[in-house]
Amino acid sequence: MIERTGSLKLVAGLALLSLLALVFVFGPILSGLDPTDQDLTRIEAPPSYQSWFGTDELGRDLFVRLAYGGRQSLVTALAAGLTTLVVGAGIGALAGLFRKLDGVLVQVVDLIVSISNWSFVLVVAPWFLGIPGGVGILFGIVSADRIARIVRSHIQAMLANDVILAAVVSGSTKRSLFRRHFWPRLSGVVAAELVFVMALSSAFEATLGFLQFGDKLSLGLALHDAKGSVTDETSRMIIPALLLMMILLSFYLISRGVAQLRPDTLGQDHGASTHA
Amino acid sequence: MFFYVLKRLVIGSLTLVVASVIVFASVTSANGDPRDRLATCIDCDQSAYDDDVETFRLDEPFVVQYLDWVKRIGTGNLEPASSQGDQPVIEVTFARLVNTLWLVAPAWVMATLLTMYLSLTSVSNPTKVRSALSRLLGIWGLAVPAFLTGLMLQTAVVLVADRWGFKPFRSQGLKAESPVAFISSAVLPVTILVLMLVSRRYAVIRTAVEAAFKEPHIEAAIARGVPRRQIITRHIPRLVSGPFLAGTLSEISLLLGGAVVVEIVFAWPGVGQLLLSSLRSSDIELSLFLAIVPVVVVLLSGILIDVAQAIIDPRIREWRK
Repeated sequence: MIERTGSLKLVAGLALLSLLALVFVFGPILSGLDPTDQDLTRIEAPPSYQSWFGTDELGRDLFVRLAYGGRQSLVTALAAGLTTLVVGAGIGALAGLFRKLDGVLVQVVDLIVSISNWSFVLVVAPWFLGIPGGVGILFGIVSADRIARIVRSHIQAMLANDVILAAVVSGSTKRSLFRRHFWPRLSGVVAAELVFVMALSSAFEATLGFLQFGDKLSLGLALHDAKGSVTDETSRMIIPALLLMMILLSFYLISRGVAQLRPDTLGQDHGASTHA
Repeated sequence: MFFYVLKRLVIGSLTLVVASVIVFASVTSANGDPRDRLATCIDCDQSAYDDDVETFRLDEPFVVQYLDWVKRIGTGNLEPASSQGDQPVIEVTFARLVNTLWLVAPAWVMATLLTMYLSLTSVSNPTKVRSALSRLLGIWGLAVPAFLTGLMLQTAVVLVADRWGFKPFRSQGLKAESPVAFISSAVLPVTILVLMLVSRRYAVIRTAVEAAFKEPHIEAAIARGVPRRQIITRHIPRLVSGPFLAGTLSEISLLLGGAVVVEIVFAWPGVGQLLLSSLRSSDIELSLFLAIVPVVVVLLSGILIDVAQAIIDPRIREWRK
């Protein structure tokens, strides 16, 4: 039963995410418009064949702008996932496998926790804005402590296991231990947590955009612009809000699905149960 | 215990040094130059430019600038906040912090009570409604960012207000003329904060409560016939306090960031808003102060929370000896 709801969630999440990605990638190509081209003769035009969602107060096409915002959101999630995997799982695995590094790496994780707050992130954000997916890299770093803790505690718990002890006694290297014993048991938890961080990073990107501290084309910025627009703000807010919620929902479904299909070896349900 | 605290303090101050270098480097290099404000200053001349170079040691290398800032903070001789009409940095921050606390403190208390109530009732007496509610909270907390919840609530209220002709928004913070006006302007932001906190905590606390009910001494107490009320009010909270305090640490940094988002959506004059405006007008001194204070507070409260945990939970005390 759990298997079935798990795979149902996973499939639904993946389907929704791929649908969104298709629209974001091919929509602007089909429409043939540029997100920054202004057309001052068509200000705040209603939806038409040419511009599907109408135009904004500078005559820019709303659909293309939203699709680019959606792309930004997905690119951010991808960058955040990769960063948090490399930094977080890397720190966790090293700290778990090598006793000597443990002390130092725990301090590194504490450093990350102490700086991962809004003031710090806002201050550092300009450094990351120039890079594609930069906001994701930033978010991946400041939330790396979560995955690091999980990987470290799992490895340390497994090290006490008889099977592992037998492997150590019979001369396995740390590398083969990790590849053959730890990683197969960790991959499910790590994947669930990873997708979870990706969802949070998309939300974070939108929030930065909303505060006008993020990328130039962002769903969050679209919401900010809609809030400031004089005419009919509610209808202009609905579409970016829905898009954002659909992106986050699809990540949530994938994360829950993975967590249910590959339950934690320690018997705890991590991914998506603890919130950043 | 003493040596443990001492060790934590030493490591904490090393962490602070690293964090402060990062903060200083990013504020001074990525967020503009204090001289930027001179571009829009009408009655400033070359002497103002020279003053800025002098006060921030702009012609010296990075290390000298950094050490100079550390000295300014250490001695309390901070430069005035240029974006706030040259008021003293600490006074400006404190005034805004009070405003933020008026939002954050009630939200924190309400969220704590609500989380405890929800998780205790849903574990000891699960019903369909309660489990659906817990699932909804989990999804909502993740799939709808706080600023979006805020916007939605605001839009909904505005639509209703338009129809019924009343205006609930008057965001003056503490300057509101009557308690009623203050409460009416604080209701929506506090609601968002409570929702945010509850959805962050609920899953963790619920799992902790579930685990607590399975502890041997709780089962023994139930078997002994200790009244349920007493178990729920006395024994369970003690067991849950660990994960609860650990979660509080990350909440402190969240709330100290002044619940930036909520303050922006509802135009609440708190610390978060102050930080954004100081960054926009490249007010270096104020930005630096606002960015480093949360780091210090989080480091200190991390140590305090560990000590508190050791006091509350005898098992941890034993383990650290």
